[in-house]
Amino acid sequence: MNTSIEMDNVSFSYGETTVFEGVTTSVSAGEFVCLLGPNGTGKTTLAQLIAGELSPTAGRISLKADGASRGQIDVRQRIAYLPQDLQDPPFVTVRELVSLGRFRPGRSLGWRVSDSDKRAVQECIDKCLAGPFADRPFAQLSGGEKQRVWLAYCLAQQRDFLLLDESLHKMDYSKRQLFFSMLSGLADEGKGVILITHDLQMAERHSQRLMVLGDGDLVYDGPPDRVVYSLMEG
Amino acid sequence: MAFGSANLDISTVFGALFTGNGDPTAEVIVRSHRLPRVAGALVAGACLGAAGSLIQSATRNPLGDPQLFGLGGGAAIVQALAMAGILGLGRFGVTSLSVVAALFGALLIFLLASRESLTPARLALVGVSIGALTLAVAAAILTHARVFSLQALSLFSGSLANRSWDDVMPALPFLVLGVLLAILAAGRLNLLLLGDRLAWHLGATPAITRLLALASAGVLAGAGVSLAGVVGFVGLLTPHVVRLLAGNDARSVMAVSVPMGALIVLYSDQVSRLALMPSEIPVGLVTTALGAPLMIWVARRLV
Repeated sequence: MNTSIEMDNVSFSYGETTVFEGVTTSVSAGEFVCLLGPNGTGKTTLAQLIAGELSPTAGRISLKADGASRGQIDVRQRIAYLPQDLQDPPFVTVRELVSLGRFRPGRSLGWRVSDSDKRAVQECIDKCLAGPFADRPFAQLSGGEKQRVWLAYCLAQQRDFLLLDESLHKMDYSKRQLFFSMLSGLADEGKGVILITHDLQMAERHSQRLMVLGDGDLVYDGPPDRVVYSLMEG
Repeated sequence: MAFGSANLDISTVFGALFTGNGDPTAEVIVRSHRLPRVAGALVAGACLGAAGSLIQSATRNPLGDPQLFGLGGGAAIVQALAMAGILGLGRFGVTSLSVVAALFGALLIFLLASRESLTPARLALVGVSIGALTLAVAAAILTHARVFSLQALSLFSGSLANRSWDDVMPALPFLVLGVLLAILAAGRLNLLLLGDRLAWHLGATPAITRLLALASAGVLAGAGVSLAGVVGFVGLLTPHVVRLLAGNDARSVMAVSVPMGALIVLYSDQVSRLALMPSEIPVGLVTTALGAPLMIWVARRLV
């Protein structure tokens, strides 16, 4: 099954302020895309549009999947979105937080974490190297550790796409390297990954495709290339 | 039930309770004074404990408490009006009106809590301000009506002294109603801990769950305050004790907070009754003595 996020001539403005105009591109499952650009160019806004939190002022964003017609798809069931600057959920341990990712709207009342859920949760925790602190309160972890747990929470949702807004930037150098290559591995397994980041070196080394936002449009969209460095300076 | 100004031995208490052929004085003491008081403590504690746990889950705030967040304040105004003789309603009417007032407080918190930008500490500060304001209004009403000293103290510090079955019974239907609403919200209570944004992305409708949970908290807080006055910090204390014993799952925290709140108020009331016999300390002072240090600890660690 091939799923893709299609952006067709997408524009967005907050009142009078235009963030970007006429962005057209698409991201397929199985791709690892890094979205770059100077501050204030609308990277987060684009993520919110893709995730369905905002609607474009013009143009269209749609999710295409084989065997499903348009309008049938709930974006929320396809994309695991991790926004920037999340407030810590109170009380919960790491394991409890990751377990919440297993929630499905159909099973609300009396929802229990089943044995298969538990196994999936443990797998995600191990994959994100959160095992050593799996039963500690989330709020007590360091910034980098929290980001690892949030990633495990996203993986536990088992969506087609991961949409991550600066979700690795608090990790130390070696961890960041590890997680960049993990995301690239996820893409190889067929997931679509979109990561907003300022880490051009890592992006260049690990992702298959870079998108650069600047001056209200995509100024670069293609394989990693030295050209991107000069764009980032502007 | 055995201890008090008149000490009764256990068999006398049992005789008075069950066989009905014991000492008539003991029977009066046990059946019309001590038994309703125990029942009142259990019901008030269950209401306030459950309300606290719901507020903490629904607002993602470890400082959540019906009194601190101003839910109890509205009910206290109604109680003050009733004490001042301004409200010509029966016990059930007063309890119902207290519940309505507490629901207003709950609605206010609902509107505030859905703003993601409001940090837990700020929400608590807003709640404390609302609570202080409502208690000031209640105090003004009592002063105006020249209701002084003991009666006023029993409202502001919480007291279960001289509660009869007529006081306890009107609160019961609201305890049931509150728990029913809480059960409706329970399945998705955990998701609220994530915050509205992430809960929405998981496919839930967090606003409905929060509305249910806070409505339930309002019903319970109104009933609790109308029965026992402002018993401080029970709602704050109970869920934290429960989390130590039963884990963090918002559903079990809610469920266990009902009996735990009841027990905490019951035993606090025993202390208040017996510690300085024959005079009594208001039960709210006992729970505050327990709860206030906890709040400082929570404020240091979690916020």
